[in-house]
Amino acid sequence: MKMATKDIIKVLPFDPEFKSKLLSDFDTLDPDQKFTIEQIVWDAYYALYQLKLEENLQLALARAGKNKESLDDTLYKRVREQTEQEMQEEYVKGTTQADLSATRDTIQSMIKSKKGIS
Amino acid sequence: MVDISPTEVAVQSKARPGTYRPSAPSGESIQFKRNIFLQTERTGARTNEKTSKREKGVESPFITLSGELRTQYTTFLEGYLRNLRDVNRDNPAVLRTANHRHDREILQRLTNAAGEPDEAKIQEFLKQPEGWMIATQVLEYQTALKIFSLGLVAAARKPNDPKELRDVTMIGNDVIRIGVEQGILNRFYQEKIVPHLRSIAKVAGTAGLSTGAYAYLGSAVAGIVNFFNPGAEMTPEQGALLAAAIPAAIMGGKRSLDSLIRDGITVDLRQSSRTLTYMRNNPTEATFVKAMTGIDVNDFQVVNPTRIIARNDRALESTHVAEMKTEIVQALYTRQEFYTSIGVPIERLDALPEQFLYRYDTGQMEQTGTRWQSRIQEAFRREGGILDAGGNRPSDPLFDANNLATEDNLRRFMRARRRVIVEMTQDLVRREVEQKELPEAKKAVDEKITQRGETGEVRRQRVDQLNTDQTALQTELTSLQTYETDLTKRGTRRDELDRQVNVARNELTAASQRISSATMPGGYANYLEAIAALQRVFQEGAGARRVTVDGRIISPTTNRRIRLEEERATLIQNVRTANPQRAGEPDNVYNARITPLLTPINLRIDRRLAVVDEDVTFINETIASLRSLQTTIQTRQTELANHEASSVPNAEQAVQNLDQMGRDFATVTALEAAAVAAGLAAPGLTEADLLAQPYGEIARRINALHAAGRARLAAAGGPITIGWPEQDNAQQDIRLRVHRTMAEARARRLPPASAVAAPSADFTAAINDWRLSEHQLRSHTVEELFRLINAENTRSGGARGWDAANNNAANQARVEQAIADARGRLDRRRQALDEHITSLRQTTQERGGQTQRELDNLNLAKALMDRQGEIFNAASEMSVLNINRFTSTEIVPNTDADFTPAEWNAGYEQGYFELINLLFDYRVQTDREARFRQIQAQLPPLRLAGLLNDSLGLRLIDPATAPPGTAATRILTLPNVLDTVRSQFNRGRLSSWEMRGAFSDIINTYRDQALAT
Repeated sequence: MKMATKDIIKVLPFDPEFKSKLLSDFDTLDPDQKFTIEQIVWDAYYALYQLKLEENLQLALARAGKNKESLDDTLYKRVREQTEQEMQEEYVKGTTQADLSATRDTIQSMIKSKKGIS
Repeated sequence: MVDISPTEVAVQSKARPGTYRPSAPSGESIQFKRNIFLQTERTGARTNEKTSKREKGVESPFITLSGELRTQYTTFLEGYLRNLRDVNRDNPAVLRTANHRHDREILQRLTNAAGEPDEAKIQEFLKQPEGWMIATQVLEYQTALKIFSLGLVAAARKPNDPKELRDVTMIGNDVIRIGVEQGILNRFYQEKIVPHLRSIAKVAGTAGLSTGAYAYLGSAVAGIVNFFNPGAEMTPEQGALLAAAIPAAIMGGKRSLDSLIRDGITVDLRQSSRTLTYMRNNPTEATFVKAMTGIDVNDFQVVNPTRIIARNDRALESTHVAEMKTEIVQALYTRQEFYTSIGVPIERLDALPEQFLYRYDTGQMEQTGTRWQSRIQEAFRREGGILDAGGNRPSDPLFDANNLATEDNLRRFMRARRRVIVEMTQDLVRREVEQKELPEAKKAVDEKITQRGETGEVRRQRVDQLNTDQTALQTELTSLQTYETDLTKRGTRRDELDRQVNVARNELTAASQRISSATMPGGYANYLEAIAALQRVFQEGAGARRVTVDGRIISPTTNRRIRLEEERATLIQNVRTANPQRAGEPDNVYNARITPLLTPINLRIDRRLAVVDEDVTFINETIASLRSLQTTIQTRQTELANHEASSVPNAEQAVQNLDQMGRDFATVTALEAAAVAAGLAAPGLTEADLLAQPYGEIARRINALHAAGRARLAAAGGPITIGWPEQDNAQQDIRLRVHRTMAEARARRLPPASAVAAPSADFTAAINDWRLSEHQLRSHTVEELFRLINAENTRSGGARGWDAANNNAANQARVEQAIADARGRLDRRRQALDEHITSLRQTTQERGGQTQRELDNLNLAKALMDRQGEIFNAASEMSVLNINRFTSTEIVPNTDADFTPAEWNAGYEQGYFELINLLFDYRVQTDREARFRQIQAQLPPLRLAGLLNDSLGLRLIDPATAPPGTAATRILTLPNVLDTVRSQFNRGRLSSWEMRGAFSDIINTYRDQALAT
């Protein structure tokens, strides 16, 4: 699934106000700021993925201890796929919510603007 | 029992240098605002800085980290950095892996250009709160590694071996306790730390916090588990270590050092065995562990999950077990000191963080109160906090500490960590946006590119100036060459004229000698006498003399002519007498009758007169020939005189250039003694330095000397002007001064020494006593020089040179030596200047090449940095659905219309083109082929393969270091990398996540390389 830096910013649960400002300013940031922020947010997202993977692996191993998980050759693959699936779901949900929120803000802004005109 | 006391070791031990270094105890305390580290607590209590106990009163808003603590941190960081330096030197691939990116960042930021720990940078680092936070995380992780390693040693003990570890106790079947001797801490502190406290000098410079800081701050919340990232090759068994790693690391102690001393270091063998298995299957991590702890995991093997033994099939390479045990205590002590210094009560500390999730003693996570920990703790509390299997909180009387809901606790704790990671990320981004504290890498790279562009300062200084200098020096060289050529021509012409004079003179002499007479039967030596003898042939009467020319005897011609006329008259008279005119015989009849009788007489006499005429003609011709030869001699001699009197073209400029070389050399080399005399350090401008150092270094030393002179303290005499400032290097005459000096130094080394370096006494006398110039010596003949010397002798009243009477062979030899030296000086200097220009040309080409290579690298780095976002986006699209395209090992055929001829001809795998296109998007660019060639040069297939291999942990082996018998598929080549990536993608061990990380590593590698340019 293709992801973009701004989409990751949308997904990360930052403060809404901060996130909104970061997204609106992102394209006009100083090149070095943009470069650094790209690395930070992608690394952060990767760290979240890693943590999720760790968690899922440990939980899988715990389940295995109770004979509820098979310790076969595909364990790691299964856990990774599960983790990626969960991350993707969160990603889609996060970006959708952020986009909806942005749309909502835009509409509200337009409505306010029209009210102001009338 | 096996003793692992600090003085005895369980396995073969060898001292690891640099762990402790004796130095003078010192240190300066440093204050920070407490709320930087800790949540503000307004309890009304304050912390006693010495005892760390809370006392009544108002809590200070500041915390003080003592100089001793800073020294301990410094010592720890230096040891850590040295270990990293060794890793980077011996196995650079280790630090390029994602697991150790933070280590590499720290290494780069806290070491100097030589790769050694830079104390100034470390001190600056520790002036910042983040520095302490990061250093503490490093300390904790390193300690965990050491505890794990020590556990291996303890577990591998041999029963009944008299050298068995002492104070090792099995707790149950799978937990081992390694005792630490009572009092070791005090001994350690007194013996190891106090004597070695070091003087911390004032520091300058900054140690910026960048993504390295982020990586460690991230680690602080992500936990130790992140350091044991299993990488792409993890098997399910290795995956089990994710859980194992934490307990193996954190169960080294209980709540404090007191308990550490009391109970020793506890290692769970189950975790150690799993961790060991993981380590042994991950050479990168094994290499890292060995470098950092000295323990070689390959010395041990797992028999079963609760039994680790030392391998008998190889010599143990593990080292310094005893020292490591001491280091563990030191680290734990230092860590405790840090936390208590910032006001964390000792009773709230675990030996290491995160212990509470697995070994519940206190009912909560260790209470360091650091901001990051508090944030995790608060997040975890909001997630429900620690619960037992029955869902009871620790505050509940029914709470069962021995039956924790570990899975649920873990899940919620991880969630809390994630939350805190996001919060910290937000803080970092906010700071980046608002405060601009991070390094401006892209601007720096842009600036470097500009500096190396056509009109850039770097290119100007490196190349353009040298090109201009080359031209100027070439002009000087040409002047010398022309001068030398003119001198040669002059000599040749002189020789030719000499030869012609000599030939004519010899001919004249020979011709004269061929003329002889009764008074000079052997021939005349003087042509004038010969002519006189010849002319005497024409005289009349007694003065006439016979002469012989080339054996032809010529009697006096006038006398001969007279005699013949007299004979003619006599004979005619005789005929007339015998045949008188008859009477009445008319005259005409008589004449007709007698003429036939007279005609034979006239004919005979006329023939003999004709011979006389021939002799006259011959004599006149001989005389003319002699005179002609003499004229020739005179003409040539006149020409020679005119030639000698003429000036040598270009001589003036050439002589000036030659003199300038000597003067510049004297000026520059004199700086050495002048500096020392002025109490300054010797700048290194001796003749040997001029020969050994490049132009840039010589100029730099002169500039540095000037700066030192201006900075000379008043007590030493105050500022002086010596050498010249750096900005003067922009003036060409200043630069040429250095070049001429260097050329002169080169000339002085060319044999013979008498040419330039040590002229002969005769040459010195010629210049100083005889008052001749080098040019005169080179251009004049010995005879001319004799005349000049004689003239000087006269001028000086006999004080200098000698008079004409002494123009003897001995003095001629002296003059000839002086001439040879003068000519040698010209020749060697011309040769040296030529060599210097050649060297300069080579240097200029190298600098130009270097600048161009740097520019290409910088442009490549810039392209990558500019495209970072797009690269990350593209990486996120990589999946099993398209991985075949990116990893295709098919060689692009020359019929594939999607590729250009340059790409066909390269003969690379299609995957290479796909990957570099992902990185550079070069295919859509108008100069596609040129761009491809640049990429091909800067990021060739094997380089790309190496970067991916390192970053993705593919473990393919460099062909240069591959042991014999290594399978071809395990050798590091691009096709093998592509095959491995594809295989691991399909097996779920690699995904877009890791590829994004690998591309990020590539970008950062080129960024670092560019910034270091």
